[in-house]
Amino acid sequence: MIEQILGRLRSTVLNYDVAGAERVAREAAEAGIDPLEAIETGLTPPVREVGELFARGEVFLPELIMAGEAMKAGTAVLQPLISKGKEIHHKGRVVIGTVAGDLHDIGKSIVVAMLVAEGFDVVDLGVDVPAKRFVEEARRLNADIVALSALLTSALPEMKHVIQLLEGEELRRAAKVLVGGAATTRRYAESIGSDGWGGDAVEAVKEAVRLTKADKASPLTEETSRKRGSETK
Amino acid sequence: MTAGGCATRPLELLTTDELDDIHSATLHVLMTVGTEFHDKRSLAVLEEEGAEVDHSSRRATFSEDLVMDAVRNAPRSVTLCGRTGERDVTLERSRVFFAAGANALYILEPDGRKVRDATVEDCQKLAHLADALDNIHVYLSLASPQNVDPRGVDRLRCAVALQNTTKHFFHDAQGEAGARDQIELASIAAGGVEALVKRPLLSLAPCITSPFRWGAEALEVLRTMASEGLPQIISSEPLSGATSPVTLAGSLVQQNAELLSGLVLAQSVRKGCPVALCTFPSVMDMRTANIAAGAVELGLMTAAMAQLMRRYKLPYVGTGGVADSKTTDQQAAYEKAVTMMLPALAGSNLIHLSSGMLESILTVSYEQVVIDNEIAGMVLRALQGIEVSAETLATEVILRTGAGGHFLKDTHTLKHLRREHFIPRLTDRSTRTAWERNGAKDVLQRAHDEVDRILAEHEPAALDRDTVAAMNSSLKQMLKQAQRGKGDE
Repeated sequence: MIEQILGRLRSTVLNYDVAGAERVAREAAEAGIDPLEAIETGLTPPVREVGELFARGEVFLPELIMAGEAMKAGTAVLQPLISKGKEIHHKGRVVIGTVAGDLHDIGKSIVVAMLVAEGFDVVDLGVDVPAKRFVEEARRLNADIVALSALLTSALPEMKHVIQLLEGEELRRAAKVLVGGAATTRRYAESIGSDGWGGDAVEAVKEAVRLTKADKASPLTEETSRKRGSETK
Repeated sequence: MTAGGCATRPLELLTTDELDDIHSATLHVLMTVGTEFHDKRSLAVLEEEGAEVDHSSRRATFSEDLVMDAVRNAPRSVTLCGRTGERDVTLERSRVFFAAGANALYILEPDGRKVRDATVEDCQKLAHLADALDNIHVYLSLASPQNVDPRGVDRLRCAVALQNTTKHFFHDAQGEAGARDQIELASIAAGGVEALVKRPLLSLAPCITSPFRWGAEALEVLRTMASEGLPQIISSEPLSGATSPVTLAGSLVQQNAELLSGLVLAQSVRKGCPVALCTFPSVMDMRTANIAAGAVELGLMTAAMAQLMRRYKLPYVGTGGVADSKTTDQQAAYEKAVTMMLPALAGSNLIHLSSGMLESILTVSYEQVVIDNEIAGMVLRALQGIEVSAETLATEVILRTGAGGHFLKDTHTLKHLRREHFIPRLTDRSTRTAWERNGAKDVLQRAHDEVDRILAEHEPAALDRDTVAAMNSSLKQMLKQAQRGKGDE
């Protein structure tokens, strides 16, 4: 019975069935299945599976995003039922948003979907996010990574501003900073003291994994970078 | 007047009924969804003009009358002036020109393998190079320097362009301050604001953030250009499947609605102000989440939009010749050829981003700039079509040459050769023996030689020394001002 429900829960995610995931999650709760187990065996693994298929080019971005949405819908039902003291296992908590002055959403949202598929707990603050809000949320949620996105060149200084605020609030050691978006370059990321740079969504996820593995402050390293001519200077 | 082309019988991808459907769907979207305007003054202007405004959601919706009044009030043609009259470009009907750009962050090294950050010197050299190329009619900054503070970099690119090419400069701006500063720089080059309004050397392109959201900076630029009566190029650049519907028709509806919402604002600020509408309609590659700007769908959507804008009698700026390839290879060539030909055949008035762009628009290659100039030449030749007249039917010539003769010594050949045949500069048509004798160079190597030749031989007409000094001194102040502020604390 339990296995059958968990199997169906997995299928909803693999079939990108958001409404189904919510419905089966309720069934799981009513059947008395441990909510944490339901999430960690019924919802998270199929999203990882879809993530792997995406990485192999066998499924496409909308499918990856819908699998994530299905997982979210199921999790929303089950999470409040998790008993105190227990927590969903994740690779790290990422607070992410597009910086103030920039309304571009899509690149950041793709990174969110891919971070979720990778097993991160992601809190998306949206677009045009004031620097102060990044800092407040990073503190409140005890974030491992603060991820900043920008498409407009004119919004770049705002990234530096966020980093300076994080420093001022002495959060810089607790939370690593990852910047990305079409306006950013590796050189710019370095120059403002970011810990990581995601040249595209796939790299942003790789950087997030690296940053959560790394101890303390680890600077941007050569091997994680795009092999740009300028970097050898 | 500079030599562009004209699509005499423009390609019509869509039937009249299909155009009607797109038009009606657009009006429906503008009436119901409308557009967000993240700028109080814009909302106030629109409200006064009769748009329905919800201030809490910053959303304006538009009636059919309001939209069609704006369409009627906008000029049917826009002239983008160069420093001299022979470089002027008039966007109207189905005339076709090409524009360079824009703003690549990286320079592809001549080996085609490595990239490096673009510098101010690159911006100078690329403007210099574009100045010499016949099939770049309007200049957009081919690169954006990475070795300077990003704040105020728009003013820097503007000054560099105005000083290194006499072609019209089509650009973007960092909000109202960026627009005002660039107007000042262009006024110095033109000899005063009045002279600039009369002969605008500069146009700016406010761009909506798809879907349906106008940011404050873009709106400041839009209002500034409208109130000054200077030309602006209102732009929509969605990625089909991500920031617009995955269906091309749906994406067209959105692009059209986004552009018309901007047009309504511009015409509300100042009736009759010069506006061209512009799209850069890419698709998202669903395997990599990257932009696909060399996609055939871009060519299709641009061609369809050219047709739609012609119906509105509005000047249209399309996009073509962007390659997603990382290097100057065969992929770059076929992406460029296909996406330059489609918008041109459809009569897009200006095809922008058509020079040098690789890696979508992140990287520029000097060599590719001259290769693309050649592709544009072939496309313009295609637009000329086949002239059929007594003279070109050449029956007399055929009769007098007869069977077994040849046409090389006939004056008819001499007379028509240059107009009838496109004479390529880079394309190799020699024998293998001759090709080997000349070093067996592929097109990339030949393009590299051509870049060197142009940079050594061509001298763009310089502004006089006092003008340059005045511009540089203003620029210095502008950069100081722009670099004050946040990020500096």
